Amino acid sequence: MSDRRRILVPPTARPLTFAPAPTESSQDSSSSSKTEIYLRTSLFPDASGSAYLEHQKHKILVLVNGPRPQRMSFSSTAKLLVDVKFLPVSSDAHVLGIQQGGGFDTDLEKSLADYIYASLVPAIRLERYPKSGISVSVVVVSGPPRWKGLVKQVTAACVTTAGAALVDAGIEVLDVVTACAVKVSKEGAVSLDLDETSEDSESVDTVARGVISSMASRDEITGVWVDDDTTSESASSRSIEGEALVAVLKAANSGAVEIRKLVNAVLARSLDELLVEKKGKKKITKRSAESMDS
Amino acid sequence: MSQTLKPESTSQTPPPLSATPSSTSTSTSSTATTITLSNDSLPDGLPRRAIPGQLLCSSNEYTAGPGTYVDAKMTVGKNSAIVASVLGKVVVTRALSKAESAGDSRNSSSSNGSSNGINSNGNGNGSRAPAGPYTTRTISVVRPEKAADAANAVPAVDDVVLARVLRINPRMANVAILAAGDGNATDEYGGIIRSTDVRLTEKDKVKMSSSFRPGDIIRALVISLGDGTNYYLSTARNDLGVVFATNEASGEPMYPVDWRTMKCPVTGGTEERKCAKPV
Repeated sequence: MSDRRRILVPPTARPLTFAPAPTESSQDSSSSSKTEIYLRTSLFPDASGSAYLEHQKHKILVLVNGPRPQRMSFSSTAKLLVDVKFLPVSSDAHVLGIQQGGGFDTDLEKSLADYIYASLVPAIRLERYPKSGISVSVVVVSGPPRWKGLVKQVTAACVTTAGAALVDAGIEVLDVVTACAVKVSKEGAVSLDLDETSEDSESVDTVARGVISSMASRDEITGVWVDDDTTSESASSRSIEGEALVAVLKAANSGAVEIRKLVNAVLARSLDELLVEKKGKKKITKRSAESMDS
Repeated sequence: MSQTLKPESTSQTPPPLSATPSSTSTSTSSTATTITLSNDSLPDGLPRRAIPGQLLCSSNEYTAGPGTYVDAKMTVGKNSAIVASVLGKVVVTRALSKAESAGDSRNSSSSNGSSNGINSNGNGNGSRAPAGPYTTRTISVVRPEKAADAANAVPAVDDVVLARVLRINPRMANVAILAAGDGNATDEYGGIIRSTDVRLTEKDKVKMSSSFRPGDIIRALVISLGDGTNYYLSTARNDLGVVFATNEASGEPMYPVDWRTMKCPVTGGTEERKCAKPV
């Protein structure tokens, strides 16, 4: 009896293989400033809100849909759904997944989604949207060329983008959530983990990495994720606690505050564009409707 | 920290903002990163535009309206602060009396472009004093409308909604809510009008079949969030009830003759409905 519930692949199907990626990257990224971040909101008119962030090789796209009715048991607050997807082309993440036995690295996707959920939930005024669902779809279009050890950077970028997209969707939030990644060196020095290319040269020094999500205006931390740098041999059994942890938190939080300033500027600009281009946009949609007719 | 975070500009002209990473905090007490958006401000030194998390004013000067919330953690002096929760224009509305000054009415009228349920009618006891602590002034943040907003209205209790009747039975009518709040449309929320909520009088003698028919468009009030699938609606008011119905024989739209009869302009036939009072 054949399996009728699934659409099976043809028996002759072979797994997709990609041509080897051109090995440019590291040189041209050093030409631009390592801390330059590009962020833009309202890219997709069909979604309630959207944001796109580029930072070095990270390219993160977040779509927010909602609040939408949910036909489930009654709930007096909205439900937040976070979904993370790595595109197959997003650097070597998929390679790792395939090596582990097929498919994508869904564990990583899940833990990322969990962290983003935990970071965003305290900021959203869920009680304003009873019986509704708010879905946040995070798409990692492109990650760092070498993924290992840089999950925190990707996470921080995802949280920041998602925070901006939530605001773009007009969902009531207590504050905009931003996140920043930090790394701890062998000597205990904490620095912002913004530079993906430093991985090769400094991996020996880095013993731990972490990411902090915070609501900067309210001075509240909504998410913390710190652990040993598993790629580093020097990590050993060193634990981060007490004052070292406080230093990590403080550094990451101040980084998140800096990023918040950028997000604020981007949001302010998008608001200005919305207000100014309100009439212009109407014309554009009319024109596109005409072109569809013809 | 010596890093520089630059937003790359893809827009044609750099906007006239002061929201650059430097020199951003206002003089209010609590936080480090409150961003002032624009130099030109509302009369009381309020920012014209607000970003979520931005401190707007003290809660004893204003009432928190839509798009804002009162935060006990942030303070302005001894009072808790009103903080923006959406990105948009700051709008101040007052409990207007006729003698109110012209400057104030200008502020409240600036909200009519996209009125997110802001009441400017208030309770009518607005004093002449421009900024007395007991004047009821409401501060709200109004978000400019986007195309996608049309599909994102969530009905709230006490909203008047438009709905289409899906099916009726002797106890209730099932409807689909088409528009909630400010005319934003979504047809995914369901609603129920129980027979006791159809009209205010003689509730026990309501016949659903002579109140609504499937396909009618009704104006109704949300009386409860209901259960998981349906809101509970009511038409027990003069201005609520059927606003659009077609004649069974001719298919033409009918007009209301009295509160329980509609007439077809073509055939002259009448049908029973619980009509909304025409406005």
